[in-house]
Amino acid sequence: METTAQAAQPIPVPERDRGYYNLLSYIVSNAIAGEIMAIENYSEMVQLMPTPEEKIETVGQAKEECKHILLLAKLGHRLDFGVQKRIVEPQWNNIRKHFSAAVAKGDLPACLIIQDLMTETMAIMLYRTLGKQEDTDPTTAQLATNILADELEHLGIGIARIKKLLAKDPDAVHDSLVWAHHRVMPELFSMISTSCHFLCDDLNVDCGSLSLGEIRNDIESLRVQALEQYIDTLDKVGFDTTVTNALVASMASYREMDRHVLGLRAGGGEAAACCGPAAAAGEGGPAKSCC
Amino acid sequence: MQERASESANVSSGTHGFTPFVRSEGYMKLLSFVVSNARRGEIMAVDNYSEMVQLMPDTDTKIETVHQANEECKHILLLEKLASHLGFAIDDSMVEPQWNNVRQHFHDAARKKNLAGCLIIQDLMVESLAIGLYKLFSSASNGDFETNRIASNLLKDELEHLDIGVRRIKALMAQDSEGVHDSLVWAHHRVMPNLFEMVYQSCDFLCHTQNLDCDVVDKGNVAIDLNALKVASLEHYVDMLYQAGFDLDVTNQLIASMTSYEVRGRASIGLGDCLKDFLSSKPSGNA
Repeated sequence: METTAQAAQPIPVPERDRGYYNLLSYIVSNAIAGEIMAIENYSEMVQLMPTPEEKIETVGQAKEECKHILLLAKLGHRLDFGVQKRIVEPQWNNIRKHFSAAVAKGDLPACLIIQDLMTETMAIMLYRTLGKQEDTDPTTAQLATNILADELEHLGIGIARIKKLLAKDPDAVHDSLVWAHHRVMPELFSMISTSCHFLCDDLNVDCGSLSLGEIRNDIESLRVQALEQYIDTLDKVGFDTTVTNALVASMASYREMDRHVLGLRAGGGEAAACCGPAAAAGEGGPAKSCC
Repeated sequence: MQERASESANVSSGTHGFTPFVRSEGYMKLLSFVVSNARRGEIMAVDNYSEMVQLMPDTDTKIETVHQANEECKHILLLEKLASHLGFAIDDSMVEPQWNNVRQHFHDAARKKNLAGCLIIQDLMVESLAIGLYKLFSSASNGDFETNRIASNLLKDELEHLDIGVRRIKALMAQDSEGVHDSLVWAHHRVMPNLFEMVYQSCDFLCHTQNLDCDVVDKGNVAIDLNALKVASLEHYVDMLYQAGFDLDVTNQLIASMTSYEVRGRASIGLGDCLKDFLSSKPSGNA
């Protein structure tokens, strides 16, 4: 459960230059694209839900993602920066394609893993970053904090659903995880960057001028946070760590991923894959060798 | 506690000018049948609208469609609440099998990315049936206050969905009239026989599965009979075809084809005459 910050000294809000708003324009447009994809994913998943109650819950999730789009678009309007209310970057469409393939196969675990775990994990990292008032601005931070609460709830729903499926058929769910990881995670991690295919042109901003320094961040630390969040999620579900460690280790091959982010030695050899705090502490089994 | 609630609910309310009456066992079974099927239709609508979201061309329309799915979710909860309040069961064994066929045809259209086919099936055809049902149950012929009130609430949403559907179809037709008409013909031949079979055979279905003769059930102050639903749904469907602005040469053929839906061996409800009336009262096409 997220805790709210204690009321203390008001945080000084720095004056923001055009670069900051260009960066917000880029990030918020990408966030909207992710929300549009989420609407489509949740909606397409409804037909696979086994009971009317679960269908209704899933429609409710789609509806919340709709609300996020409207709020994010309104933020752009309020702070006077441009946003795109459509999917521009191709990675989102690739993830959608993989999700649709899972639906076509009737693979509910894969759908839940892609949307409720993988995509929500990224969304959580994004809204956590934007929710830090000292790094962004009060309006953006407040909105991001509100959206974050919904996304955390969605993650919780996803974890509960997958745990249930895992209890029924662990082999099939692990197969779905492996498939989804190899299809989707490279796409998601490639989006932790300030480069783009078409979005900057669409927004009329100079891609080269975008700097995460505007929000006191850098790409590498965001990747580390995303990885930690992902590993933590995998741990919370209770996937077999033999499987998840191999998956995490495989991420070293991503073009964007520095090996030391994953805690791997430069020359390979005795690599200790990353694992979350629960596995490291030995919950549900012996403590793992973690990075 | 639950039994006591059911007992008191077995008497309809006497508020808002409605005369109270005791709901008979047969009438409760009839309600169970109607509400179980209406709920199944709403569940299918949730599936259909949700599956259609991905086909919508822009974000605003996607959001509108999620909103429609969400409204159908509320309808499911309302119908379940009605059943629980009045003390009858939602019974899946009373659900007619044709719903699965309609859902399958919609799914096929979605898989082929046939947005016009999806809109025609859900927004126009299924909504016409829903409107026929809820209009009947919210009319003066339904002297049961509780069911009348719920039907009125549901009717408003379904009429709105029909309007949205007509608007969307018109927009698609402006882009590709021939494609939309092809989708209409396909959807009509796939879906309408199922929808009408459900309505036609409802009394037989009840008789076979529940041993209930709907013609002799004591319905208290309720003067609805399921035959009236056949005509009401038909009226809405035909009216919707005209509203959407489809080519009359096409729609007249489709309407005429529906005379073949009447089930052999059953007493005619006069559907043929009803359709002839429609065809003679509406403007003809180019022919």
